Amino acid sequence: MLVLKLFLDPIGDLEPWLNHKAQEGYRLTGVRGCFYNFEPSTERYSYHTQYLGCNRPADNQRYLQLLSETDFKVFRAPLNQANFALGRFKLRPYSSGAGVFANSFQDLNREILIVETPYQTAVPLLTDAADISEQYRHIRRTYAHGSIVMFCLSLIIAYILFYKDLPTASARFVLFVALLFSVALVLNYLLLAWRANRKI
Amino acid sequence: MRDNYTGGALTETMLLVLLCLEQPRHGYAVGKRIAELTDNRVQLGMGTLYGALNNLQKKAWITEVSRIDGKINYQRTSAGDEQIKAEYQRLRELLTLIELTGGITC
Repeated sequence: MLVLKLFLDPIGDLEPWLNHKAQEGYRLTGVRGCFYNFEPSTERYSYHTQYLGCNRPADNQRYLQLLSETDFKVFRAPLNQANFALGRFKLRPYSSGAGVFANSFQDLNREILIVETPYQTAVPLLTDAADISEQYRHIRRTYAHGSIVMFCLSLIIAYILFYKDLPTASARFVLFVALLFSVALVLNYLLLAWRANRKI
Repeated sequence: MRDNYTGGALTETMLLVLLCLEQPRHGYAVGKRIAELTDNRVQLGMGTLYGALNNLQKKAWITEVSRIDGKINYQRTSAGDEQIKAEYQRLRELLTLIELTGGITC
């Protein structure tokens, strides 16, 4: 059974939704973008998710290696849903190390880890309070970055729409792209600086 | 993952993982051993377990000793042994403090 599912908050809503499907008697068999494949199952499984978007790709690989020592099934889901582009590169100032430059050959569009465990012996992926608080800091940074970029984009679009003295349409388009790029770049550097200097 | 190392204390997770690596074990076996030793009181999530192993390796308190069937086996180093001794001493001092001030005999 192929299910198309979009979330307003994929990091927070994916786990309860998967466990709800498990309660209905389905087992996850695959994830591709925003499509989730299920099969009917008489055995019940438990699903736990973890956001990996702020980690270095090498750390994620070692984590997956540890998970491969278990019998648990592992899936990866995207944070940017319905995004099917190939060969992309993305600047992530909220990440660390090589994770700042995410690309589709590593962890881009595979930011959310899903681990399937037997229902009777299910344990959350993060059980230490310090780990859980760090995970929330990662999520906060990610959503703050996205919110700031979208807010600036809205300001720029409003400026373009209501400023009537620009010359031609093509000049207006070039100005729009240049302004968007400049503001996004400045904000990304400010975010990096804030991360480096924070006291937490 | 924080371990309060600069304050001289190990978290329970870090201490239990160190204790279980007196002999070579792979990561998942460490989690199972901890559950067995604590009678299932402490069940480490895989993310927490990975964080602890990663931290201990960075501090050189454990080291990778072999890879068998795709599983990485770790073992405590001499620096890790020293940490356990230091933690044992710290906990003994705490117990003495409890007995002196709390009126409890341990």
